[in-house]
Amino acid sequence: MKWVPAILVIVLALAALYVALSGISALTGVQFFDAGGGGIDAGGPEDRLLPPSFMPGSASRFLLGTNAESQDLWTLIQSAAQFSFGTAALAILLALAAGVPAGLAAGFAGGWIDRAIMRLASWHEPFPPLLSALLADGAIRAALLPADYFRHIMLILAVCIAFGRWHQFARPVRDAVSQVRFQPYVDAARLMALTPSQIAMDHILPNVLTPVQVLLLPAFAFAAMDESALSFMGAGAPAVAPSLGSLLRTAALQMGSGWWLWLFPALALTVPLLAVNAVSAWTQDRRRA
Amino acid sequence: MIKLLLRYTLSRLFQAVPVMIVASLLAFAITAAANPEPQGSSMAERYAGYVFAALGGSFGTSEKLSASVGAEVMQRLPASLELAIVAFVLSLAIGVPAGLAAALRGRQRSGQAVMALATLVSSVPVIVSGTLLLYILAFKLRWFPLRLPGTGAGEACLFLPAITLAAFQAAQSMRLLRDGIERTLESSFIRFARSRGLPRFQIVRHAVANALVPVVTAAVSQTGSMLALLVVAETIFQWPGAGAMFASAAAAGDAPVLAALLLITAVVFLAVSIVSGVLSFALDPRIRRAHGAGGDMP
Repeated sequence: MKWVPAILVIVLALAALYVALSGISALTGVQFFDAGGGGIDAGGPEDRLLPPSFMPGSASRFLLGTNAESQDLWTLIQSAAQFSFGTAALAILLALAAGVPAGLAAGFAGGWIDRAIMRLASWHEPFPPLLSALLADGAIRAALLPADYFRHIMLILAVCIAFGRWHQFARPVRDAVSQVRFQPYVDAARLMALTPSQIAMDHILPNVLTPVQVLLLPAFAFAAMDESALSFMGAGAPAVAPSLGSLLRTAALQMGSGWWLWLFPALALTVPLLAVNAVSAWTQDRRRA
Repeated sequence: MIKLLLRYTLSRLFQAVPVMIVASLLAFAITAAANPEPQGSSMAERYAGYVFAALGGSFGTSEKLSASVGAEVMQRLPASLELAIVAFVLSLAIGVPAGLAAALRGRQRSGQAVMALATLVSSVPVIVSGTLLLYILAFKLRWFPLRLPGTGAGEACLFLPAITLAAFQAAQSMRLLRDGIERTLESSFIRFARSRGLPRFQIVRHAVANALVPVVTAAVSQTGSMLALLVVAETIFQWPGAGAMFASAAAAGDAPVLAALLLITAVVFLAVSIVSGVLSFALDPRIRRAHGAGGDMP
């Protein structure tokens, strides 16, 4: 039984690497997995719904089999993972870009600015992030032509997910700022005639980074879950440029045509999320120790 | 006392007004953005018309559903409520014994296994665990009627969405209960009870009674996450509730339905928060004092 944790660590580390590379690929366009340019392989009509090539009796040349459109599941999952984890990463960047300045402004300015921003946050907080994202996505879809909507689908989904989660960064940042704002060393900096922006950058921001760092990995995992849930419900990615959520949707709709249609997208979504959660738990333990 | 309670309730209702104004502006913006032609009337007039119609329970008609939005939502809400209540009861029925087992047998195999299971359940996405349950229990074993996502054909089944929701909630409440019991068992009054030689089951009874309070509080405050899960679970298992309607309205870009659901969820959240606020105001003298009401203490 001693080797079980070691294997688990290796699997989780590989999965975490896979998430990171997928996210980077999606955001920069650099491909890591596929020398052929990252496209989705497809066979002819005779290659429909082939089982994975490692199954006994399978004559398939496709490692993880094919779907009902004869597409190779291996490359399909890679591009879907890039979409899902790339959207999640972009969403977290956007949530940071909205939440951190809002929290800094509230904590630093105090007074009515603080009250206004935190009142907005406290109205938004009980509303679950997934429903905020679903609502925003539906509203944007209703307002745009389908072609425009799908051309910017990744950015739109990321904006919607970030909209659901901005307050998760704003409140801890604001609380951290208002805790240190009246510390003696900040008063000292003020007496030294440093400008407010210098005080904010050099004396307050460093104290804010710790709560943000703690939140980043769990927030990423939740954002990836949001994206896959939206796409599963048909509210996110289109069938032609799939996310892991829409692959699972297709597998559920075509239940019975092949277990591999469900199993591999499910693993590609779940194992990386387990890895991210494990890494985040591990870093928190180390921080505490 | 009654007068104080009334005044507190009124102030909470008054505070809800700006929230509803913002929610109604957002809802109107959703419908206006989807349907921008002004038809000779100004934005303010259209907004006023929308709000007055909504106050009368009318949210317009959906072209995609070809039905009145208000009637459709009202027809679907009971199913969602049924699912939520069954899932809530199931989650306590699973979570409380599991939390007890994890707290009292934490060093034994069974306690460790319960904890590992809870960690697994809360890290696997619902769309994965839900479709797995659907595949094994409904498609392969045929223990439950099968209703494929997106088709709506076949008989709807309450158990599968309820157990999916309940498992997720149970994992949260069992962890809270375990932490609560462990913290209470270390407190001084338990040490006192132990040194007095009380039997173990009486000590455990004290610890559990103390640890249940945060579980119930958290269960109420988890309404939000429950609602999000409800939408996903109703979609996976094709439960004919308002949650599945929410998802398909977003997928179809059906603005009147989305706007109506935004307003209705806002009202639900405000109502839950006001009711729980008033209840704790009535039950807890410390909260009354915090509101400057004096209270019963000298």
